[in-house]
Amino acid sequence: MGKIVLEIDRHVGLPVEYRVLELDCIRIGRAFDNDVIVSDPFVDARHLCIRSVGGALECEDLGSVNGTFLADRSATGARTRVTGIIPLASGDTISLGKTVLRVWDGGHPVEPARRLPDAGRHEPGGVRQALGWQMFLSLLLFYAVFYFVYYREASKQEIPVVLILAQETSFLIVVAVWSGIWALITRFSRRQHMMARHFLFSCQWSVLLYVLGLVLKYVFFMICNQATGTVLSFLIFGLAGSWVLDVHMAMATNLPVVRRRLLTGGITCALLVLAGLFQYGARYEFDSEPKHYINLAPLPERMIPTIPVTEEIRRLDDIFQKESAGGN
Amino acid sequence: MYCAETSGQYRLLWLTRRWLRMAAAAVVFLAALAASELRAESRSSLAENLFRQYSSGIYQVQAVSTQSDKKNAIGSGFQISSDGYLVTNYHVVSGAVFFPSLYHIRTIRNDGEEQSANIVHVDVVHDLAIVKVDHPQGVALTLGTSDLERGSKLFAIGNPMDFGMTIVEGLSNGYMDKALYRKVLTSLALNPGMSGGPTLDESGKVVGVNVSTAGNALSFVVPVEFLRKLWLEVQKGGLGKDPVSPLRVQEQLLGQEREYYHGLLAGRWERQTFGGFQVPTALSGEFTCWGEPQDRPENWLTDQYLDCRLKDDIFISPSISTHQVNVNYSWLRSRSRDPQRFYALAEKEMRHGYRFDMDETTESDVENFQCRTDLVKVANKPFWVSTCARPYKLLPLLYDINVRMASLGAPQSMLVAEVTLGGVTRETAKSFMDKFYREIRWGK
Repeated sequence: MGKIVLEIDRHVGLPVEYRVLELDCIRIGRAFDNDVIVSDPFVDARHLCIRSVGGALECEDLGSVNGTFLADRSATGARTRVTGIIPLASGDTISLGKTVLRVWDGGHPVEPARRLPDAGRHEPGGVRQALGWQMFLSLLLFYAVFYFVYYREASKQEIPVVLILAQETSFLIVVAVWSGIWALITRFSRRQHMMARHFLFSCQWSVLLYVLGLVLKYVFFMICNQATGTVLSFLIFGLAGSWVLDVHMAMATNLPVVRRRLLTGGITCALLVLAGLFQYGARYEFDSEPKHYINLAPLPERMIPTIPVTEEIRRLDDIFQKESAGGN
Repeated sequence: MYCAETSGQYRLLWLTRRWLRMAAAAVVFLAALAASELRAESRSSLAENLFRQYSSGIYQVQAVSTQSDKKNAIGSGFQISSDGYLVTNYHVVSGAVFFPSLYHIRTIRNDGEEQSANIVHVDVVHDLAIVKVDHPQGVALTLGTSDLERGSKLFAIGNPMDFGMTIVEGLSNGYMDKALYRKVLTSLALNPGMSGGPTLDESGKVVGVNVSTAGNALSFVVPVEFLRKLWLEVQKGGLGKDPVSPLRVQEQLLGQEREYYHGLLAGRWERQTFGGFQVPTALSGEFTCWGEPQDRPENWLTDQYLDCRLKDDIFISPSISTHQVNVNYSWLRSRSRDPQRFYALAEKEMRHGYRFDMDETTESDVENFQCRTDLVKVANKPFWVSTCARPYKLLPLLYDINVRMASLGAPQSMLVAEVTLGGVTRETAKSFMDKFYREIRWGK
């Protein structure tokens, strides 16, 4: 029995994890009684055992279905499947499912490695930061074009450049604050500091949701009436929102997948119910003006199916409420 | 010489003639003066007589708020029989019909005595109501005919703005055609509060009921024939013990709606070339159309506007009038080559361009509009059509309809149409829209 240092890269967007263990047998698998729990459907409940016998490392595959693989030390990257017990050298790489383990003997320096940022492991360094800046600049460009076309050209309201810049800055500030909150959460769960990632992801999803909203608007106008369209877009935005929350949570907390999904799902449902309640309340707000929802923006008109007059007249039944509405 | 002599003779003759003429003119002038003075005398005495004779049969009618016991609306009324039946306008008593818990009717006799009154019968379409008081005192007015020569003299009695009983004089201008039903157009100076008072002819017979004003000294009077019909119904027993309820009002409106739209949908609609389409304009003789070109350089958009409407509507309650029929069109053309921009402007125009006509309604009158949007093939061209409808809360069979449609397919020109129908049943709305869509044609 000796000390073993395990480097665990789960390949699910989480930072690499280091564990120093001194056990007869480090049990690795999906079940909760393992020493290292790997939540991966391709990993068995009890998959693998790693031992240090008199300073020599060895590993034993416990008859897994999908196997354990030992990476070749040469640069070819070839892998051999582990059967039974095989000896390991310090620094060998084992993979099971998506997870990649590196096994070191007890003398491997762990402490300094723990503080290294995730990005530092990748070569060449700083690629992600560059990506972040690119994303930031393209967003800036996107919004500049959007405001220029929309305000200055379409509605002919003269909007000074300063205001446009201010709007974008305010958007970025909102995103930064949002990412900051997530970074704080990350702190609480003692994970690595990942504000840049949250920021990048926030920028991505805000653009994605904006485009999704535009697409949905047109799709719903083509296929449904207003009420159905509202309900459907609520649902779709609910799903998208829950996905966004889930990714942020995965980056910021240590919650297992099932609990995380339950939590994000619960939050989204609660928000949906709240929004629904607001809509329901607003339904009874009196308005003597008709609200015409017509989107004239140039669609490829030939692609939209038109209906004949008879069909339109038949569909008008939709808008006549029940006749008992105010009857005595 | 001859010439001179003759000219001298002629001059004399001319002079003689001139004197004769002057004398004759003087006589005629004096005679005219005397006659006019005589007439003026007789006129004043006529109005005086009429007022003296009939003012005792004329009441002030008030809709009184039950909670505060203060008047909420005032009008006039006149006695039609000696047993206490009074005639007034429906619009004076409408509050008590629709909200009987909030309003009741009070009448004030010429001698100042107040008494409450019951609504016996109404004619919503012609804005008439008959109420009953228990202690009548004055004379009952007799009904005449409204078939008067244009220019015949009329007198209206009422209590304008609570100033006290007043008589005004004016001339009849015959029947007014551009209205839902025949009304007499007069030059009586009717003012608020005189509604429901009688319009009398020179012999003191009722020719109609004061109803509304149309601007500077132009007023409308409901012809007495409609009153006679309503009075006959009351004499035959009327509604019996049933109170006059909103559903009764709805019944009358449905009758009117059926009759009116039956004629409108069967008739030939006038069409006009507008915006590349042939569009229906005056749907019947009662419609008036207005046009207006607009050029808005700041928006890079030009716009022609055409509006055809039925000028008249039916008063239901202080916040609802109904039975509007309105079609209007805008032809938008862009001077910009950029379709994005044009569509953005057109969309704005379409959503906020026109005010909705019937926007005095409150939450107790109507539900919110329900809308749907479709892409419809009209005249073989694609149109975005957005149709909205809202029901009346107390008249559950009637709806207000508002339709807006925009032609697609041309990146720099667009026809935007709006249809508004007030107080129609769903079947009527559907048949109207069906006919409307089919009446639109493409091309000159």
